[in-house]
Amino acid sequence: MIKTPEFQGTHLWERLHWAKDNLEKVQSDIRVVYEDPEDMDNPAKILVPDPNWMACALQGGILPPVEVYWELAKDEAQPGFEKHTRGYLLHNTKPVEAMTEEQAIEYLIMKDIPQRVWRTWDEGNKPKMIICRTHQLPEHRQWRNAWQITDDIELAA
Amino acid sequence: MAFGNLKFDTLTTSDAKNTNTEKSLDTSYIFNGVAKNWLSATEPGSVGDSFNTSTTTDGGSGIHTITLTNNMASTAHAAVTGMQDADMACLGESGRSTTGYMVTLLQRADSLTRTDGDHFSALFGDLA
Repeated sequence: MIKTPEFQGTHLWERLHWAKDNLEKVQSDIRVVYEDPEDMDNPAKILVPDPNWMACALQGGILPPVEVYWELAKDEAQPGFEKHTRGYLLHNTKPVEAMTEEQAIEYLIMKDIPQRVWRTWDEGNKPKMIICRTHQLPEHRQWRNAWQITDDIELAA
Repeated sequence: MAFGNLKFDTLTTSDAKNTNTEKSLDTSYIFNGVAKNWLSATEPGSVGDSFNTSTTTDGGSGIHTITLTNNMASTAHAAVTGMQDADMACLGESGRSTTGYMVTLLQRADSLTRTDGDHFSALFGDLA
């Protein structure tokens, strides 16, 4: 396996260039199906990991900790936000070590799914979020706009 | 054979073949003008290839949200979208974010309806 250069302090975008040149894409079979309580009129959404991002996650030493994205999200949520002034957090914070595929999916859930979904995913009448494999999704997309997480889903222990 | 780094701030040409007048270009012009993200998807809920993308979210027929690994500096970015054949792709919502963008895919008939299909996008602007 190729060794990741010491990237702390290197612009994240440059790290992604290095990864694109040096790492093989990893197509994950895992999907995250979720329903947003603030968007109940729309069907269940399906989060798909990017294969180049997954390669970075499994390699380690490239991606910033997920908490960095939360900090930037706080800044963006401020009234009158115009431009990020703490983008350096992406580049200067110590990158995370290599993850397993499962850890990478947990990271993506916390990065790209609204916190109101994953922080209380198992509260309420049914789960708001399910992690599954592609073969567990419907085989065709007919009635895609009616897809929902079923009420009687059985969760793995 | 390994190559080293070439660091410079300005590109200069003599332009001898055309005007024979020296022309210079600040390399920051190049950086500022390149796409900061791109994505090619040939199936709904999939990524064929990409750059600076962490996930795509399949939000229903003809709706995809692309989330970035390196956020943009502001919401004043420009997304360019495309779709196979005569169908159309465009930005999906007015709510702009530094974390990514939503693309909606439209089928042209008597009226526009959302549809799935091959789609392509790129994002220009300043990085965080």
